[in-house]
Amino acid sequence: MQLIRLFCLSLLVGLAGCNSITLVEPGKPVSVGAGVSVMPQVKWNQISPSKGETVWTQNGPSIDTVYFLTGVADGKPLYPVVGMRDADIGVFHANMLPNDVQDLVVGTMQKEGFDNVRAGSLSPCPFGTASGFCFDLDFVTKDGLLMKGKVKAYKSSDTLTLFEFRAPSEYYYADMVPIVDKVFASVESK
Amino acid sequence: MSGEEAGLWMQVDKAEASLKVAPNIVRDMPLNAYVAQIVCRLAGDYCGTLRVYIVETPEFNAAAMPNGAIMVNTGLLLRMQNEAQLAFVLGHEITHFLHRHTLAHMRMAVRTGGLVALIGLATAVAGAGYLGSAVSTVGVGAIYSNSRDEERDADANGFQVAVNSGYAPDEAPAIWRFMMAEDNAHEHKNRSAFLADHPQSEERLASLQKAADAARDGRAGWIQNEDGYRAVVAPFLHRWVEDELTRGEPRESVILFQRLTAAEPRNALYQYGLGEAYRRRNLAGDALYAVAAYRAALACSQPPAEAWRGIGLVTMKEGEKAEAREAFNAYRAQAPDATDKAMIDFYLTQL
Repeated sequence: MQLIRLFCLSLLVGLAGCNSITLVEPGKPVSVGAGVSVMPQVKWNQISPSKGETVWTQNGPSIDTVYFLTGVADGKPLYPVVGMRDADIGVFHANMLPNDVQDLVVGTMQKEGFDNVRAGSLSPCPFGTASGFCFDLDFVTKDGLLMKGKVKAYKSSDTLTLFEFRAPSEYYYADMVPIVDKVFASVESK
Repeated sequence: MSGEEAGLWMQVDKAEASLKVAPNIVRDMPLNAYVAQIVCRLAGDYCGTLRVYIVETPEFNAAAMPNGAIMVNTGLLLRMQNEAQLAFVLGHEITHFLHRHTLAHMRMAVRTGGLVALIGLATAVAGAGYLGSAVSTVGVGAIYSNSRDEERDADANGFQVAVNSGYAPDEAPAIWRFMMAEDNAHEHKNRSAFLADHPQSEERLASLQKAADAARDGRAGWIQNEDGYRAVVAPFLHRWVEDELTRGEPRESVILFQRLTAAEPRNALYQYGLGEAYRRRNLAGDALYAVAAYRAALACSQPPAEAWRGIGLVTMKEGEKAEAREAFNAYRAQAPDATDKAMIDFYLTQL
């Protein structure tokens, strides 16, 4: 019985550790991984899963999310999808063009369970001082909620850095996107 | 009727009410009327108890709710090559409804878990709109998973209903053959929702082939209605082809579009879909296959401008700058309002 209690306790601690939530304060640059930092502009809740990506939210992850995916290496998926093996998700390749990365984002979101994922307005855009690319997203959640998204990315010779914002198309997206644009525009790399 | 039984029906009706207003329901009247008239032809006197919902989602699937709502995915419609194939799938789902297979699962869920087991059903069914997402929802999968015996029953009865309506028997096993080919595109992947729910595919293919051999019986005049089917789905093909490509399953998409282009080589959208599937699969030699398919699309009538973009992307990666430049310029000329024109202009500066 003692062993079972210890196991349950360690499981709870482990689970809590995987999804710790911390407050991100505005006013100074915050590291989002792999030597990349941004200025938060406002207060955010930061959810840091165990797999490396950084996730921020204002109203809870079921409403809005900002994903910071940094240092995605050749042969790796953008992020893990529950119940799927990496090989089934689709992986980043260093020779990908921005169109290919856009396809990869769309395919990965479909596998997350979103429907009718559409990307558009792919265009070059600055990523800090580097040359990156941006595109918009429209999609539907499992619950039938219409969502919008925005992606800003930079591909070095061998890795991908990708920021993604998602929010319901009604009210939240338009309300939050000016702040998110400022956060994305504040990116700095070491 | 017990309180729990009444609650069960309330949940099902609530699910259908949500389905009616789901954003990914296809509301095109001619398409809905076409599918509904096939349902009525198959269901006979039960026509009035059935309602069809076409759900825009690229997965191959269809499902019947216990109250007579039948969901048909656009991914299924993309894969059907004629009306007879669609009729056999609909016959299968109608049997699930008439023989109360799903209802039995829901009653079992209420008996074992109470109505709490059904909470979320409305959201799961209506929001996802199709079985694939429903089965991924904890607790709901069991409700919508039919047993092997029920599947055999739906196969056999659905087959007979469609054959009695005059549909060509060989189209029933044809569906299983091409779906198994797609599912075998990679060795490790989870099976599609439809096949995952339908174990023993080889056994069932054999059973349907045996039934088709017996039913054919030298008779002529079986209904396939390939032309009628193509005419009805034609306005949606561009969107459904793009939907298929968003699945992120290029290995399966290659198998699908190989089949569709073999049957209809002059269909520009199928050729374009094949080119895109090869480009996204990106195995050794796929660049050449992709360009060949894009060029085949461009040789058809009314080719999509995106075929030029595809050639540009493939040849740019292959270092064939002149060809890439020509293709991107053609894309810009034919799609001046394309939302990715700024990116294409950027590529042109790199060539």
